[in-house]
Amino acid sequence: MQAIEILGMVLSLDVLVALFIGLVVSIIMGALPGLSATMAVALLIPVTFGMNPIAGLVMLTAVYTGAVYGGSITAILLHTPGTPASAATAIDGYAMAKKGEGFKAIGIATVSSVIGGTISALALIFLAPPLAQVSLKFGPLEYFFMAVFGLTIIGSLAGDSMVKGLMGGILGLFIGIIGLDQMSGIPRFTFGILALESGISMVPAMIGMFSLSQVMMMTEDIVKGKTSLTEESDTVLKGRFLPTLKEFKVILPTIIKSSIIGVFVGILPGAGGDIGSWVGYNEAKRSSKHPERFGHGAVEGIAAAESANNAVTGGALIPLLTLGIPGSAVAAILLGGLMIQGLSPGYELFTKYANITYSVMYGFLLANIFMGFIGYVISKQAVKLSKVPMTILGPVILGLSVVGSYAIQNSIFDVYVMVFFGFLGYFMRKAGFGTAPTILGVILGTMIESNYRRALVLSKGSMIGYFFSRPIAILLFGLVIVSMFAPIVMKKLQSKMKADFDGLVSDEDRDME
Amino acid sequence: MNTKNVHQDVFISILVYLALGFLFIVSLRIKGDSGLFPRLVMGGLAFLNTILLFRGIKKTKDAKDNGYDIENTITLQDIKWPLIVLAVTVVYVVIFNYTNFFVASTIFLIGLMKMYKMKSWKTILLVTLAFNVFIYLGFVLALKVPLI
Repeated sequence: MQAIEILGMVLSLDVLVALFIGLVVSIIMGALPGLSATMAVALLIPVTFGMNPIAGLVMLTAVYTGAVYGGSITAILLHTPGTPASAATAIDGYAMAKKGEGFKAIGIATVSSVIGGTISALALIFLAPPLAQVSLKFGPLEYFFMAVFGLTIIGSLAGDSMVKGLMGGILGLFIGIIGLDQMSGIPRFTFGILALESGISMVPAMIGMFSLSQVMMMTEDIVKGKTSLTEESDTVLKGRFLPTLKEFKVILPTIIKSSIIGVFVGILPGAGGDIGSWVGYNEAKRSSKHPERFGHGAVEGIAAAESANNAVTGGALIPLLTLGIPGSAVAAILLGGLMIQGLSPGYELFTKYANITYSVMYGFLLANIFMGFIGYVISKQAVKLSKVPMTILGPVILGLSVVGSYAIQNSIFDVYVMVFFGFLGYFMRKAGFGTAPTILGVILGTMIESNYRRALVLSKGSMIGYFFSRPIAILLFGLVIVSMFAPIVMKKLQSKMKADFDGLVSDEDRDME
Repeated sequence: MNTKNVHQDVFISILVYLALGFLFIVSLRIKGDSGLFPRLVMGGLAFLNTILLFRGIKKTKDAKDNGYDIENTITLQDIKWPLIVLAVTVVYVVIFNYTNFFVASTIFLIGLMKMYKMKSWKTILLVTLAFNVFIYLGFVLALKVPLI
């Protein structure tokens, strides 16, 4: 009965319309280089505020998976990955496009993304509920360590400088402090501004940091005379879209293996779609009977990268829904979307709000399947859209940023918050700080402080004794230590793989000369 | 000392120290335990900022010793136009506050596209019209956001 109820909710008209709109918008945005999945989700959160929770959250999860897939279109046809997660796809995808098989390459990417995303959605449906039960055993100290564990993903969001990444994260913690202290009601850093007492509105801050700052960066390019996001010439879209049965049989094992890798990478805090796709690609090459074909238009290469990066999306949702720990920047923003619907991650999501949660998870599954059909229809148009002049895109994105920030609470103050964070985000990006760690800090800051102070009260003056009496807290502390070093290992692994492929491509160039 | 040959991280560090100093003074006025966590966070930021400062000084020194110019990413030439766009956005929000969203958006979109040196009036008007219609249908009619 419950399954039928959930199916009824997922298949209702408003959910299907939200899913459709989410997929179309996100595939197009994903295909536009510079407009990331993060920005797509941040811009669409205000739209979901007035919707019913299921439709709104299904839309956001659809945007997540759709944007990651959309990134492959320009990666294949223009050698310009729409999102960082599609960088590995560009290697073999563009090689196929140069041979005049661009449409076929997109077809392989579409099929692989659909299967990867579907496998990750199934993993989410089956793994999240039992994991949520674990959260019942959590007290303030465990939540404190979980939040610190979440902060360790800064290592992978930091960009070139770990120090700057950590500074961005701590700045986020500080921004999270602004407003009334949740435990004592004392105002902190509000400077007498009443609107600040409820804290900095997270969604306008995110829109400012990701969208307004992006338009400011775009303006620099416009002034320098660059007109569109991509300047490569169009490759001819030839070839059949769907792979033949023979080709499908060849790529299926790669897809399944890469999908499993992607789900696992997604669960790990700090490892997003970009790392997932490189790990999947490398494993496919390593285990292939013809590794020499990789880099020269191997269908397995596209299949591995695309199934892995879409599989990451469902994987990243598992710790988000069960423990409230975002595994990536997009997941951090999705947490914001969850909160504005009045939902908190954890066991209650799977009991009290089970109808919403399961509907969202099944909606996510459906989104991954529909993505294939929508991708087929709009992939040719999406690549044309990347030619839209930045002189049009910039003003439109700014207009959407203003209306989106205002729509959350019908507050003009929120729009000023968006503008301020746009200004801050622009200079942070210019100075190499990156904005994703700051957003993560804002989200986890409150969680860290309130749980630490609660744990202090519960420890009755003996924190060390209290800590050693809680095995899960000890385990989580160990995980924090391990995950602090994981990004360094991951980064080295990723650069090694990239170097291998660069070497491969240079060898081929020499051969051709 | 020629400031052009100083790495931007040095200036950023000084700015962060100034901001931290001000915020620390403000934090002293916060009563009870509520001020502890903010001061802890500021301490962490000050520590990392010190590392940033030393690295900035080292980069500056390396450039001087090896005789090459530092290419800072934040230059007045680069940030001038983005800051103008930001200022225009602030004006947009002010107009929105005193009139309504559609009046403000029309002025803003036309103004910004002209500022970006778009020549075709047909495209400018079409984009402005399409944007306003989309927002009206999506936000005013469907989501009931009071934009008028």
